Amino acid sequence: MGDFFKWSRVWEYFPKILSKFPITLEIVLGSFAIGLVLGSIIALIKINKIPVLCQLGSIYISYIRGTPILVQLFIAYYGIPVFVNSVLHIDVNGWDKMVYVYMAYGFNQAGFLAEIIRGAIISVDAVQTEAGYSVGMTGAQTFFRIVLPQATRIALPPMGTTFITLFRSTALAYMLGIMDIMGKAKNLGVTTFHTLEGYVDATIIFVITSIILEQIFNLLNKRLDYGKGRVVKQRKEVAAK
Amino acid sequence: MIEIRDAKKAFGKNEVLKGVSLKVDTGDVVVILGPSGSGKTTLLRCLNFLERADAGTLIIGDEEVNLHKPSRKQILSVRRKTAFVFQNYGLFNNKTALQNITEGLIVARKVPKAEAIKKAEEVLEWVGLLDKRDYYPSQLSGGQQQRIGIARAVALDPEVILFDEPTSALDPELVGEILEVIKNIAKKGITMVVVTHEMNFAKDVASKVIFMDEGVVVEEGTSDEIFLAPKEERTRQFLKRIIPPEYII
Repeated sequence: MGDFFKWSRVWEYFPKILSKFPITLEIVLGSFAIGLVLGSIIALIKINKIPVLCQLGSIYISYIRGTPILVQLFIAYYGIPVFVNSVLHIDVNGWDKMVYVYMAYGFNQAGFLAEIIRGAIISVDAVQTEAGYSVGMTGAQTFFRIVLPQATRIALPPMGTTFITLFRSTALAYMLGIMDIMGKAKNLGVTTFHTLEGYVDATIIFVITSIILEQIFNLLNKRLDYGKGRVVKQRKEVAAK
Repeated sequence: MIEIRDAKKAFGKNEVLKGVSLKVDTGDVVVILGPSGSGKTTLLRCLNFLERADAGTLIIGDEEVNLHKPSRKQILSVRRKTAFVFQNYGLFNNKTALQNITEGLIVARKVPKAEAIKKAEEVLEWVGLLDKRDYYPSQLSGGQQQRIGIARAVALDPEVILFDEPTSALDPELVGEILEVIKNIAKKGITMVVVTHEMNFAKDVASKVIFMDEGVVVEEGTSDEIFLAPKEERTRQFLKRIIPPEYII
């Protein structure tokens, strides 16, 4: 391989690239939070079938799910300033690039999370709501105390998947010049002419983080099982005897 | 006292209730019988607004409510005076047995927490499931779940408990234990309206039997009147089909 690839450089770059991990994490957490709020709103609009908004929501979800995240990134980066300038008459010159990254990934997550949240809420058995009403709870009390906790439980596994997907897809943010893990790896490659080592480092960071995230979601899943795990355990114990 | 006047309900073109009137005195155990699709369950669900009737009046205690256009306040008020036992138990899946009972007390009826827990333990003891207080519904058998469903209804101390076919989702083996629990409630003098297919239960417990068919009350009377001397031909036909011949002789 000659000088093209050296493990020593992998070790040398690693701390430099790892130092940009907080930026990636920031993008992931910020966008997920935006996605969760916006996605919940879209989900509620669709569940309650609010006219006009409901159809717009469907179109929005089709756009998000039907276009590559790269396209959405560029549309956000080049399109939002034009829109904000000409329609809202707000000067965008001072805006940080990160604003567009948050918007692109946040809006993207909103599309996916809206469908997950909607699906989870409508899959909670109607009798749960009726039972809440029958003991005299209001609609809001029933929703927040009975339906939402159960829907959260249902939504958790697919949400974990989108979260990890989001984490991986943030690698594209460097296209807008963001200095995250991928940006740093690319940057080191350009300045030292040794590109591969940086990408190996990025791979290691992404793989390990994905595994950790997966474990965290598995743990959450087990914690929030409302007794189902215990039943399985009991049955296994009985079967073992 | 509860009274329903001229309740009507249609699902699309299908008229399920064609003007049903019903009177339930305090302490009454009213059993509603009738073939499938006769509107029994719909009537019960209209009573606490799980279903919105197209017309009719409900009088519960000193409150008169339009069954078609109740205010939100009236709906809540009626629901807080009634309790409902579901066919498929309707326990909150994210709450333990104890929480299932305390939830309505604490959240809807503003009972202090300690008092609610005490009450819940009392009713769990009464249905023989105090040792299951921290179990989730998914960890309990159907019979146990339904006993907790009934305990929840009793704990709310309502003016009337509405039972919607409480035994029809259970194994034949477990039906008896649930009926026993319901009989015990009857002994406590709690007002009940029970939709069921359990004829023996109706005979033993009902202070009033109502036979419904095709959205109307065909006949009503004491259990002896209905079972031993039904006046209407339709009632006779129904009973003949439901009750084994040797029982009539």
